[in-house]
Amino acid sequence: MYNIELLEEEWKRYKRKKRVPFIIGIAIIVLGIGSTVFFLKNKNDIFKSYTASKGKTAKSDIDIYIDRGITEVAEKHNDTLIDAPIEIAKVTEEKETEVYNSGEKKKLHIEVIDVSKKKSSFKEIEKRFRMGHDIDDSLFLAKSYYQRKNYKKAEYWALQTNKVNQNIEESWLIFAKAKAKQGHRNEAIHILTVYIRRTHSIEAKVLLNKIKKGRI
Amino acid sequence: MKSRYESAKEVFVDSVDVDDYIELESSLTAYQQLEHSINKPLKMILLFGRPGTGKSILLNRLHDRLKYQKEIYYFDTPAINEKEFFHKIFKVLTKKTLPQNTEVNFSALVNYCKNMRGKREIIIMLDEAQMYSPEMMEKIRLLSDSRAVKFIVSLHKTEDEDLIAKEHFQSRIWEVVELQNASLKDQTTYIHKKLLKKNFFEIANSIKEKNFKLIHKFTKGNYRECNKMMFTIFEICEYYDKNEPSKVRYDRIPKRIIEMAALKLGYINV
Repeated sequence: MYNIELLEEEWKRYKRKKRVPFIIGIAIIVLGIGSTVFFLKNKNDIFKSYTASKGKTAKSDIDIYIDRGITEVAEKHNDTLIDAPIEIAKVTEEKETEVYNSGEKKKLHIEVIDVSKKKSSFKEIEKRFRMGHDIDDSLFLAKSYYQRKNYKKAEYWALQTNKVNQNIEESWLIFAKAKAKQGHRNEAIHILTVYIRRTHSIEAKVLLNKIKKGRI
Repeated sequence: MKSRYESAKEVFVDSVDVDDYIELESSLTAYQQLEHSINKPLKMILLFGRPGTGKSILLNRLHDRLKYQKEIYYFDTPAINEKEFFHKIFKVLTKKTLPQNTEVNFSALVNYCKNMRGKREIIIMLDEAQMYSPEMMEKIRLLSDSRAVKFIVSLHKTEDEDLIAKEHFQSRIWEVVELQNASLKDQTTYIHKKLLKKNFFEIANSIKEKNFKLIHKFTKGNYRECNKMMFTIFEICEYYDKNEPSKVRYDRIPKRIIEMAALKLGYINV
């Protein structure tokens, strides 16, 4: 008969040894996740401080969000944008800093949807957008105004969305559709052509086709 | 009180006893192949395989089955020298024993065999033939050339020597039967049948599929290693059964015990 106690001890050591690669694997995963979270958090802080400082020096404008996408195209080919309530789009330095420093975004879509039929609710959302520059708000306004056939406002809010983030395809499409609906077909075609060249979007190509055929 | 595992472990004591022979699909094929080869006019047949693949027990079984039909002889251990070997051959051929201090005249023996052609057919099975010297193997070949004596040469070699062994014999041998390690299915059947043959139904049922997989992984399907492993497993179970019954369950074999047996036998190391 063997020395079972010794064998048991040996087996325990074997099990411990067998677990080592597993523990190392788990440790690597945890460390990986931890460092990623830490990195992302740091990145956010840097971004916040950057936007805050930019807000201070920007003298009450929101130029940092203005891209050269739709804006340039629109500026070159359409003067109707001048009619857009630019003064509304501006926010004070104080407000902007406050909003970004707080680090909180208010996304109350349920509330917005519930009261979307009321004009006052649109005002509320517009106000909120000016405070927080949340593209969900501006895109919502663009879509809502487009559905209500208020193409001018739809165009304006699509543009606002694009100023914050020029990669939102929906805002490009609403912008082009709103343009077309207002009779500016050539501009709509030009905008879509520029966008398609950049992104090769199939949706945009379909829309371009429709506009060219006069279905919109 | 005697533990149930005490008797079970005895089942796996390594032996070449034909009563312990377990009929498996793979071994049955090898057996039939060997039996078929014997009936062919071949002079030498090579039974080849790694240690523990069941060569000896297969030869034993063949001897047991054919001993009343044919003149078949089984040399289980190699002769220590040429003189002793030819004494044994002389005895088989002439049924007479030579005095100790005499030597067999090999040429006369070959002639004797040639004279027997057509009258008698003798089959001699040489186990562990890797231990015979090349000179002796040459003489065995010459004897087989007489066509009165047929040799079944069983041999194994270590990993590196496998090919050399095969190549060395291939030019002299007309048929090769190779035995392999058992597949998982065969090994499972082997363990089950071994236990059931001795009426250990409960113990046979306590070994689950995952246990068989683990045993096969450790033993690589080698029958001798399997016997060792099962013996050790039951020995550990026996110890627990007698001394710490809480550590052993009758309805299943814990993985821990299999791993302990593997540690004991050196299949795994700390």
